[in-house]
Amino acid sequence: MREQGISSGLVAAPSIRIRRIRRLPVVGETRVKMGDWVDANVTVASASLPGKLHPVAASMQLGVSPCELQGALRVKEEEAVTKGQVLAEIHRFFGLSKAEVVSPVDGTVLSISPITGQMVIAEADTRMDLPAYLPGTVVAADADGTVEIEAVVSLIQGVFGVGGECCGRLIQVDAWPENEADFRGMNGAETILFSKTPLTYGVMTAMKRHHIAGAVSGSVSGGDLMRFAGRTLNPACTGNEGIGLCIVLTEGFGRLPMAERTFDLLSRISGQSVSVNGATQVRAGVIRPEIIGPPVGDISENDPVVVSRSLAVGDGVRIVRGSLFGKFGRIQSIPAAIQTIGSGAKSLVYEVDILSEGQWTIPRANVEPSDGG
Amino acid sequence: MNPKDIRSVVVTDCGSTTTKALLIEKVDGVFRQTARGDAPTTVEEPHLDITVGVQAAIRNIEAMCGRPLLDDSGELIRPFQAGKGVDIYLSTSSAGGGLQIAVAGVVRKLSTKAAERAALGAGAIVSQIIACDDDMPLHAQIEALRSARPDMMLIAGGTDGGAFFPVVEIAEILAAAAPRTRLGKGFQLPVIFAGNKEAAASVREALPSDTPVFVEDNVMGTVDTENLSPARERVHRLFLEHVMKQAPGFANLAALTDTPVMPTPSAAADMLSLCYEARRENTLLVDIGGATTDVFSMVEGVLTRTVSANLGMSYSAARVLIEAGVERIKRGLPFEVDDDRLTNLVMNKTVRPTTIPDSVEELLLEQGLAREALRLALMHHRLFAGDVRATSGMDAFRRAGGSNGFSVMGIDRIIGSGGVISHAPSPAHAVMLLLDGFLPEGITRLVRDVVFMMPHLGLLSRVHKEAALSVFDRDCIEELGVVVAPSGQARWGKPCLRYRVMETGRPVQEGTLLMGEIHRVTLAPGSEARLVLMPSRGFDVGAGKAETLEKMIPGAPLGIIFDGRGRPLVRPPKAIGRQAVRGWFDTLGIPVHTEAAR
Repeated sequence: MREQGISSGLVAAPSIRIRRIRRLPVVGETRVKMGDWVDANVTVASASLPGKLHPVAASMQLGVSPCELQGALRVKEEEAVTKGQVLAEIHRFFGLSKAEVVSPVDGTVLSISPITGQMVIAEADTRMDLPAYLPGTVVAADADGTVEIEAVVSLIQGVFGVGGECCGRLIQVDAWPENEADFRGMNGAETILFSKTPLTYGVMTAMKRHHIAGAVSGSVSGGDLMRFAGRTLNPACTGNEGIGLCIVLTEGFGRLPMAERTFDLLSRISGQSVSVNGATQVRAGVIRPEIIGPPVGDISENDPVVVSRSLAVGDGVRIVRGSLFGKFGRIQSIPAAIQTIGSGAKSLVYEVDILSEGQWTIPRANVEPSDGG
Repeated sequence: MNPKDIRSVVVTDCGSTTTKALLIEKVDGVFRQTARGDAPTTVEEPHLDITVGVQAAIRNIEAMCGRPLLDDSGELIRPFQAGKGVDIYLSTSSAGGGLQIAVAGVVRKLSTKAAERAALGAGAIVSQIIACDDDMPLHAQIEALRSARPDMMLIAGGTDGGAFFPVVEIAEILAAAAPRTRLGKGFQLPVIFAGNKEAAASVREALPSDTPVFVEDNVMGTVDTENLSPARERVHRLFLEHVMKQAPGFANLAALTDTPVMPTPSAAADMLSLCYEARRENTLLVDIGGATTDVFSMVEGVLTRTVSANLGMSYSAARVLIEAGVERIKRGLPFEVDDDRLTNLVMNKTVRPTTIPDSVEELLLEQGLAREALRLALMHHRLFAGDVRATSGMDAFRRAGGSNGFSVMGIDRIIGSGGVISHAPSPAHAVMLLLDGFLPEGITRLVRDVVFMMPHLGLLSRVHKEAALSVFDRDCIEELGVVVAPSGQARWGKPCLRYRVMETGRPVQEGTLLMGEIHRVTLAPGSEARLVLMPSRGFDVGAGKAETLEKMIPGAPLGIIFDGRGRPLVRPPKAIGRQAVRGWFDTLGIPVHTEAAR
């Protein structure tokens, strides 16, 4: 009987057509139009990010009511002001005494409340330019700064990432650089390293110090990662950590080996420009971290992209939990009845023949479809 | 359809991780659950449609029961005819993730704190707190608010007739900051105002005209009282609507069901209410899911519900680790474990939420995490099951029980639900989870929902009460054991209770429970015994300190479990800590060997 289970594997495709939506955090301006070809570093949209707001309790500081404040104002809404400039002042005792309220920053008077007498001074807006992130064709472009780009790429999804986006040249290293000499010749800001070897706290710290843009590994210890980030991280949702290094893990936490298939694909695009995004969201609206590079070979509609599919006897699977994590095997049988597994609990299982390990009973929930390694 | 004509029903519950389908049919004149099927919830790419997982779960039912429920195109066959299909299809849902709320108030330790408690009690994650008297400069708080991208805001501040301008200033700042939500454009940030009622109109005026504003009773109407319920209920309602409707494919699901899709916690609460109607037992129900842990208490006819949106066994597993801490989890384990090993296991579970432990060691590590999730969820529930009253002074609060005070001593029965409890390998595992998680006091029956169907039955009860109760009694719950736990503390090894168990036709079993011990006395399912409890001085089993209590109790697989570890819990001396924990596991018959099975 053909198993009807659904297994949500991660993508590792040498050549696949993808689309990515590029969206500003605020309403902005689109800089490209449909049909345009863009490189990864081309600005596709721009916006002014609102400057920091500085509330000033003007009425309270002057000791007047909000109504009385109106007569004491020396500026008006939307007027530019400088730090220390008088915003409002009153004179008392026939001019012998003066009270004034000054601006805490350079900025613009955003609002003067007639209800509370509070003024809000806004610092100057900062400009944000949104890059394309991947080279491709613009297939949709709203006027307010939302752009969709399509491209044929190689795509590797990770299981977890931190540190946002980066672009650069992908370089394979056998051992992670840690000493000064190891970094010689690397242009950190444009370098993304990958290795089979798990990351460590020392390695991540060294890469950050040398401004390496990104690192792709099979795994890292959760404790090391949190120590590096300087705070506890919730792996269910990441992307804006500002930790100085974009990290993508292809397997998870601990000392888990990178899948051969993943390493092989990364090796084939090594030396070329890639885009990496470490953002991860495990809940609805799932986002997985990714490495996007130039396509390898021709795109094929039957390209065995490992996303999800029904599994049957003979299909390849990868174990993603427990002592056999990362092992590849082939399904020998699919028992219909629930079985007792190693924990003593009951589960639907596959009987899997694992290379060099023999036949094992594996819970169906603990495998991902795989075409090898 | 007329309830009298219903013969066959499929009910699904779409959880954060798993979609669970039940087939309920009339068999020999009574309703029974005849088959069930699970599948991963499909809110993720490439499907992005919750109904794909529903279909897969129903296909698994087909495989189990050997009869077709879906046609060739995957549509449910309705009505039940010639051995095919079902009469009606119902569904609950909690897929979609949790709620993040930003809280603002005037005084950090008063109104802001009260608003924070209201938000937490509704099960939200408080992503940002703004207060006028905070040390952090206001502009920095505003920047943090913009980054936090909450799903809603709760503004409090000013007693009724008290502070006015600071409250309106907060609204003005919020309007200027214009924070965006996680859900992007098209979704307006709802604002709940629960502050000085005289400022409500001005707050509304200060906010953009298209902002959905909900005005609720002041969380702190006077300086010495809190009233969290109205704000909490509003947050909770918005939370449930938000979670449900953001699940991809929700509209498709709603089109398939014969009644409106119901939020999972509401459905479970309905079933609890129905049980209370039938049996009049004070009950605590916990549903520990992948993303949230819901606790319901039905005490003297009053239903209280809390949803801990940041405590769960898959998506929220890492948050449990963060909140509880590695040391607390390790403390309750019967073996030593490396901090890194534990951290990595939990973080891997979070990023691969559908995987399950397949060794004894991993199972017990996950159950250790579950115990902490239960403990924290009950703590949240306790906090908000009653009112909080302040003593005189601005910064001092004293919790008063009053008529709404919550005490586990008064609980007659605890029902455990959710994958980690329902699918625990044995009743003993489930008992240990509930025992350590909730620390029941007095005499308490422990029960589990073996196929995790409380939400299904709660929804079914809206269509057919008799069917829901029939399945509940026959197929849903499994009696686990009766716990006798005296409240009180003493030095390790000192007596806390003498007991006598008198079962007709069997010798009397007697014992003395020492501090730190767990005893187990066999009392088989179907039998009953008279229990006589004689607590030591300073200990109470429900009749008062040192007062003897007698009660008839039913048998169960684990029989009677006497828990002498103290309430509050007395930690074992350092020298024997791990050994003591191992002893408790051995007493309950829970295997702890760590060799992986082939």
